[in-house]
Amino acid sequence: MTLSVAEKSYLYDSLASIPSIRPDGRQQHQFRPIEIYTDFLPSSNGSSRIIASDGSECIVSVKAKVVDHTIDDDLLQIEIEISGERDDSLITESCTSLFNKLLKNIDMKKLQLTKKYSFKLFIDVLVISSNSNPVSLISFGIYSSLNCTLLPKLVSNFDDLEVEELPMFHDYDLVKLEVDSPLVFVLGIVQNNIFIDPAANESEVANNGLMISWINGRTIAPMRTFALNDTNTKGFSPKLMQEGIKLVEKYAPDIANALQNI
Amino acid sequence: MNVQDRRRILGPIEARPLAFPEVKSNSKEETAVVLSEFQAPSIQTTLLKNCNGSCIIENDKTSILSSIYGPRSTRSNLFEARCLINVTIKSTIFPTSELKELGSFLINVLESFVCLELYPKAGIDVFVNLNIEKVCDLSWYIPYIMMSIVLGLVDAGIEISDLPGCGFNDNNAICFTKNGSEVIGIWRDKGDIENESSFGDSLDACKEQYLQIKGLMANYLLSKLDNDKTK
Repeated sequence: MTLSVAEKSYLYDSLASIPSIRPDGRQQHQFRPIEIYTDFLPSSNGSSRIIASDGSECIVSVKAKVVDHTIDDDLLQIEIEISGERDDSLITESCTSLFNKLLKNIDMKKLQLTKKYSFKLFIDVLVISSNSNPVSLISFGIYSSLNCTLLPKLVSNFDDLEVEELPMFHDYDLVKLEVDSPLVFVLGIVQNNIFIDPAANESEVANNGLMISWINGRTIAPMRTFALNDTNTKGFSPKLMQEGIKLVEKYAPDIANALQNI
Repeated sequence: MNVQDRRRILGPIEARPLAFPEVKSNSKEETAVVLSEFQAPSIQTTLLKNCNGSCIIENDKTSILSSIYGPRSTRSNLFEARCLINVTIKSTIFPTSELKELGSFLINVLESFVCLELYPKAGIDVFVNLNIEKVCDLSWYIPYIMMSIVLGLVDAGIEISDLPGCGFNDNNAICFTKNGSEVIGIWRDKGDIENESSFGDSLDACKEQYLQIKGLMANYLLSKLDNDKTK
């Protein structure tokens, strides 16, 4: 989005005022409306399509494979593709590295089938269009696709060390995957104000951005600052980080609850 | 369902997999070294001749060399009113995607204190070589990397608005400027944030380390200035 100098100045002043006035009238903690469709890919174990109100769109697919976890202990693999960006571009590699670290917070024991075998999940993310930072959108997509993931039901014995055998599954019964998935919140900082989910025009004037991860009532790593634009980046008061953590801890359970109920 | 069929896949019931004794390595605890305390490093600038500025930061655990090229004109046909910064980090220990992520983080940090508007239609390339013997979290090295880049920028004569630095405590690497009154970056890779007060304590510890680093850098630059004058 290209804004004129006058527009930027007007936006900056209104966002920096106390209380801050956002261009679309949202509260400090309020997200833009999002549309989520789940389970729409027939060949995946779980899938979701998430569309933000600014037209940003992201598709997530979860596929499962049975692996021997004594040999392959990396049970989650994520691939992110952002349209218009090369696979080795800075934004794609940074996002992949960030989500690889983030998904380490998922309890891998939930994927265990028997004493020897586990499900390995392949999470493929395709960002079709993004007008603002896509990280939050991707994490919501992963959350809702994991939430609707169905895996084959194990019918063979759990203890396969005494009598070695390959796991056997029921012909048609499926079991819902019960894992807590992490969420990432993007916060914009303008002077002494911090707000959740900056839109493209807010990102254009923000002094800095903060990425806070959350899972099941806990604020977790990774946590990062990142520039929302390349012209207006500045330092900010250390107190704003604590305020951001407080804001996420207060409102994240509501968002997780809303995503859970889809 | 045929039980017999699936039970015979890996041989008879009595069969046991071959067990080999564990191979004990001679080296002691090479991985997962926890280094919490900041160790004052040795600093040396103007090492390399072919770049505009360079700095090496060394102690017994690390050797970090930064080389700065620029400001030099870009080949782009577009008019850029501000200078573009690029950071490339090289290491054999950490995966490329993680190094690229750190590079992207450092670009954002540099954009907040380098006077980019003074160098229109130009670019600054920062290359950082990490020669690290022991494996630690990448975040532990950020204070040293920042120190190396800042002194490299000073060596290259690039104008910066302050002498920023970074402190590390409790998995947080926090970059400060303006005597700790402003934060320009935070990088945290592992561990839960228990509560705000514990985060506040970590913030204070990082700030203390930043002030220590800033003192080291200022002393080095002043002594270098004195040496140059006497020559």
